[in-house]
Amino acid sequence: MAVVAVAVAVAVKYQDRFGIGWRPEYAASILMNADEIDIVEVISENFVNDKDRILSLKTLSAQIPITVHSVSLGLASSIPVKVQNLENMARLFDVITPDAWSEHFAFVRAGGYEIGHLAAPPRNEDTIQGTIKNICLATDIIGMQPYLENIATLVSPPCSIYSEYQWINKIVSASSAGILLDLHNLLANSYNFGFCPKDFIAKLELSKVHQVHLSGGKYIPNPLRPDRMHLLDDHLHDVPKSCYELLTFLSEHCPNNLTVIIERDGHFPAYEHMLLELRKAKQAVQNGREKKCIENKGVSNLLDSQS
Amino acid sequence: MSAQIVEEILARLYTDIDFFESFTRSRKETLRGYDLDQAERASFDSLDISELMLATRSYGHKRSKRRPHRS
Repeated sequence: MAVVAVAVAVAVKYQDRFGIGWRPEYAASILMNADEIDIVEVISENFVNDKDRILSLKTLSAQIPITVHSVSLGLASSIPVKVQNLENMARLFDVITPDAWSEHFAFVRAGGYEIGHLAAPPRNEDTIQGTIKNICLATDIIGMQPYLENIATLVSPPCSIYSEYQWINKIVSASSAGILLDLHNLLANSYNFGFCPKDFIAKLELSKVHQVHLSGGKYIPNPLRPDRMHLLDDHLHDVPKSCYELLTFLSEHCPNNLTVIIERDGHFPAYEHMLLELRKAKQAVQNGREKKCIENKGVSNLLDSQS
Repeated sequence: MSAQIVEEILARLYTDIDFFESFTRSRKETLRGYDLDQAERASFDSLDISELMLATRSYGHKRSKRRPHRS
């Protein structure tokens, strides 16, 4: 009976949502099974400046809530973001009205060099101030504040004076941005640079965490030191058990409703397998929420007995 | 301004193989033309070359695939 009461209390208090990243391989399955997922995440760069694709996205957004994920703005930088790219995003948002949008704590270009992917900038005052300015500009032009995602990095960025969580906390505390916490990126960085992922979560500004990414990766050897391994976030593998454990820990401590997205970029399993992973994510969140509920109930019982 | 230069150097290390190889041979010489302060030069001096190599390979691999955007 008590177990049911806790589950009901969690259901009343939290409206967590669960979804997957939209990929062409899953397009038909998503539409045919829209009742099994709460939300779909789409990569904005796959749609901007393509009228046909934008129209198809509009159709999708009429059937299921959408959150937009961007990968090429380079907001986390001492270099100003390109206004044209923000305006392209704004035009997309005029058509589909997403629930939310997100980018990364990353830079993608500098001095005319296009990295073509997400790179960790130096974690210092210059990038904090630059990122805050970029977030303000992006929010003004797009009309919605972003959630920014922690990235996986294989190299510890030089010229840094802050740890990753310190740097993130400083940016989100001084801006309107929230946090999209990618738990596999966190797992990769914690393994590669030797820190405790739960400690990272405990020190993060959890009141700013609203979205979560789950994905998988693989271990690769260091090219110069074969005795040292690195965890690569490749999105080609299942979500590891340790990620679900971190999700339970986060759900226990984060006060916000969470939108949890499972990402896959290759070696695509059957859609049913993605739904299985989604169910594991739901259970992990439920476990964390119930744990918190029981702990709170314990405190309130203690207070009741003292009054 | 040197904050932007630091990002430029990183971006170039990740994308310009000749620059990367020059950096692995002689960091001081490779960065001589860049307007960096002493602390920034020291930070690049202590950069783990094996981590940098892994990152550079990873970015190169991702650029060559180019299809799905990953995060």
